[in-house]
Amino acid sequence: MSVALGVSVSVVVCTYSRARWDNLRAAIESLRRQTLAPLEIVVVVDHEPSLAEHLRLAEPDVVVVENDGPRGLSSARNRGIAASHGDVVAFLDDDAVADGDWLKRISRGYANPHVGAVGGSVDPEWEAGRPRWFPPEFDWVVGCSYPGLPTAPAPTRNLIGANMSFRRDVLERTGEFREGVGRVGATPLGCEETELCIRAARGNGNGSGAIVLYDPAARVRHRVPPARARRDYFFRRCYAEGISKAHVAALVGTRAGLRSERSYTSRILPAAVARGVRDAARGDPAGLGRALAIVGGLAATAGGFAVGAARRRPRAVAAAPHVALVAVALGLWVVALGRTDVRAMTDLGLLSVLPPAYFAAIAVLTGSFVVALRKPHLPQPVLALHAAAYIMVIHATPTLLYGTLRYAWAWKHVGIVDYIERHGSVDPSISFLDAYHNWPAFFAAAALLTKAAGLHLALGFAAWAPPFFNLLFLGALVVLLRALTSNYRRVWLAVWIFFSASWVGQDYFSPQAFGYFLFLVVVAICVGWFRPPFGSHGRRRGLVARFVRLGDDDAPPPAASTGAQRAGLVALVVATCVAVVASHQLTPFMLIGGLGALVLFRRCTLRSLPLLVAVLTVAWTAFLAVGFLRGNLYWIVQSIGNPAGNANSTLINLAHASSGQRLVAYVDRGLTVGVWGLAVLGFARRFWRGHVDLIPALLAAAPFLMLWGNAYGGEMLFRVYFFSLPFVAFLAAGLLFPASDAAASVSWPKAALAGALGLVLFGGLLFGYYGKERENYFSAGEVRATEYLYRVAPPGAILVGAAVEYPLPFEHYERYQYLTLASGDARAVRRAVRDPVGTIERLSSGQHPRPTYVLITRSQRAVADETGILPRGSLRAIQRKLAHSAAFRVIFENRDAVLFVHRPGGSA
Amino acid sequence: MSVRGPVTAWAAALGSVAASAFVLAGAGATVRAVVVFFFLLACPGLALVPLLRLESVWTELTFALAVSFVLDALVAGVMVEARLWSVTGGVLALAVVTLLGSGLQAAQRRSRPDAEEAHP
Repeated sequence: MSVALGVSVSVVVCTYSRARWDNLRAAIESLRRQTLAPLEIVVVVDHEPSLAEHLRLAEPDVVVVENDGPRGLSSARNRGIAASHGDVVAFLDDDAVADGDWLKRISRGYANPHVGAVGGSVDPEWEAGRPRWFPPEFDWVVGCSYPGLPTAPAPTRNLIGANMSFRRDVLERTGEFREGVGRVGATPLGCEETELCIRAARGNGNGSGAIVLYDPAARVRHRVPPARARRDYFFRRCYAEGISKAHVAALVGTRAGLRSERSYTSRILPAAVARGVRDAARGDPAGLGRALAIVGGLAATAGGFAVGAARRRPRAVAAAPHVALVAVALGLWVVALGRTDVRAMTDLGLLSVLPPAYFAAIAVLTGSFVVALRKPHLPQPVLALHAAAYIMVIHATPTLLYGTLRYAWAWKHVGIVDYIERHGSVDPSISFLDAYHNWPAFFAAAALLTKAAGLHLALGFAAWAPPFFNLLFLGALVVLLRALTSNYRRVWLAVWIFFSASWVGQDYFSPQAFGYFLFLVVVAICVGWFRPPFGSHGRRRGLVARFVRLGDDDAPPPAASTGAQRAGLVALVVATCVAVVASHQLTPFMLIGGLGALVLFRRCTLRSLPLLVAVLTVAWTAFLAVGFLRGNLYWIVQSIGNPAGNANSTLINLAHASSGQRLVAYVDRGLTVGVWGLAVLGFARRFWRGHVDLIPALLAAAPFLMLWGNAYGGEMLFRVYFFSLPFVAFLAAGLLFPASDAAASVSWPKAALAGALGLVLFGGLLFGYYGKERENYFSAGEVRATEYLYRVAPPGAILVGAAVEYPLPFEHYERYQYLTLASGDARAVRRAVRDPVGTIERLSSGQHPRPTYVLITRSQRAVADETGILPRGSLRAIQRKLAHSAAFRVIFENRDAVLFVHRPGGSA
Repeated sequence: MSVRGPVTAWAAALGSVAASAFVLAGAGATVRAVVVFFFLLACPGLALVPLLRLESVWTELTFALAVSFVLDALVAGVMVEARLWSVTGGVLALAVVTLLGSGLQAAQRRSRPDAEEAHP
């Protein structure tokens, strides 16, 4: 008996099918013939009662137990461990036959007290002969030893299931076979022994790890039936092994789980492939078959591993196709960028030149987004990825296509940054672009950034401002909207609507984009952290009181915060408000309006915040921006209290605009009215369900107060739309997702509707945001002409352009005086067109005649033709007249720009 | 989840030291631009916002960028309005704020080591 060598060994054989009856009896017989007899032979029958009965009659000296746990090999083996009594439990497969000295060899391994598991080699016994294509390196497929295993007794990572044993105390210490890993019936999963061996070797972290010993001389022979010698079994088993390996890697960690496999695949398999190919070359055609089987088997295993790893992460599996679709959309976008000829733009701007691939990219993104929105428990980072890709496709397109800074005002802003870089101060009473000198914080920060980064001008990074600012808007928008609803679908649809309908273009390198981001952050903090909880508004009567009392009932409660947190957040809000007041004239008023509405309707506990912003704004204007106030007081006073006039001055004079621009203007208006209409409907639908979205309604309405106050250079209506858009989009999203919480899933028609809505809004955006791009694009030739002008024009020179839309003034701007031909009333413009030489000479004449330069560019022609500020075609006529005048000389010319210098006295 | 943790504080501190070094040395081209952009656009906020212990990475990152911009604008704005313009001075002032915030984060972690588990 095995006790002679110091340990008693029980042998457990698991079986599950009567079809293996003969094999089972051969296995038992081989155990009876051991030179070292086992303490007992335990046969576990896996859910096959008749087989157990049969066995008890046929083999009376064998302990027969039935697996009463879950079906499967792991559970059956655990049942065998429980039913046995030996110090060591050895396992033999029911289709294997042990050599006579098997147990003796096994027992010998346990002479070392640190050895916790011993196993041996398993040789295949092919019932129908070994297929010639079957590579020995893959004998593990049929549960056998393979080249690469030790050839003398050696510690190993794991043993082979058909031939292994464990000390009982190791099993007690580290636990039994893990169920759900091993084979179920004939389904060829596996690796449960690998997982157990890794656990046994690790111990439980206190130095209790045991040696797992492989002794190739402890030999068993494993029958391989013809069915397992077929290619389909080979590949299925490889695939299943991959799945099991993924399970093991997940359970014990990838490093431990795959350590052996790495050396096996990097050394043994390549050598075997080479050998197979060599054999084929030497006239053994099966060599090629073996090489191919190795490559195919490895691929099947890797595939199984990938599938197994994915199955363990259902969210990752749900996300994967969407990540792939985003990649496809970005690929289409890149293709589209390569096929776009910006020089061919008509008066519909980029819309006229974007190729189908661009629209395909948008369609793929939108489709993937709404399908993702449907899915339950999809990780929100996937939705964020879609939004970020959407932003890039919309807002990085001009940046990547043009290669120059887009939009005339961005160039002017670069000029202010350049001024601060050189002077280290501002000049609030400067005559041109004075507002920027009076609200300089953004420009000062940009100057600090430019200088500290060692750059000469802000031109390079300013071009990336639109995608950059829109990504910031995305960040703040999500924080803000999450405070308003627990329905994450409504949040993300609102985000999509926002970016699909944000056509105003206040996202370029500008203090207003900077201020807008900070505005969103301030509102997000007020709504998220400083909101009285629902139900704290008493029981007052009256319609307004009822709105106040019942409003925002299903918004998530304000975020819990400690006193220190609240103090920190207040400091953040106040500092942000100061930065807003110091950066931009209009944004503080939007803050006062929005925060004031929240406080008035008891939706913000920071009651003095709007007052504080108002005081800061007044103080800033009175002390630091007084120069601007003096210069512009007339216009400010005139526009107060004239909302209709302020709204109308927003809209360009369509009578003179080109047909494309008229279409653009109509689509803009339609988009604006449409989104507001959707918001009203969304509010109504939610109201119908018993919810009053008071906070978003207040914040959507508050910007309209500004129409009463100021025309803002004719842009007020756009700004009102822009500042109300986050809340308008949120109300509109309530139309499709009115529920308080995200439902388990969304119906296909609703998802399709969301997609259609996104695409329709985007269609509008194409006109609104891209429709003026012929004016906003500056070719390299135009930029070269401007650079040349700055090189040759002496300080004090007069620079004349047709309109303000050209890449000026970005360097040393204060040294020059700027004039435009299209200024003054209609008569003055007509005169300028009729007699440009005389007009320019009159404009530039004074006590001290100064050098005068006239720059006419492609973009100016585009502005003149599209907006009608000059009669169509007149700029070319002006150019011709200057060219034929003796008073002007061309000093620089390329296909997009011509630069004239005036020679005083030349006309005489 | 939170961006709090030694990585954020270290990144902010390293960013401030590296940016200050580049600006003081007046050296470097592309690397300097990258380091300075990272520092001025993100580091002051990454050093300060985690002190608030907000429970969402998204929120903390958004606020960190906002705080960085606000501090940049305030420091640069004061320098311009007070005619005290100094690129080195501005960068060093922001670096001091960043290092202070990173140090406070470390102190906060030491005094409340359990706080990491409190916000899974």
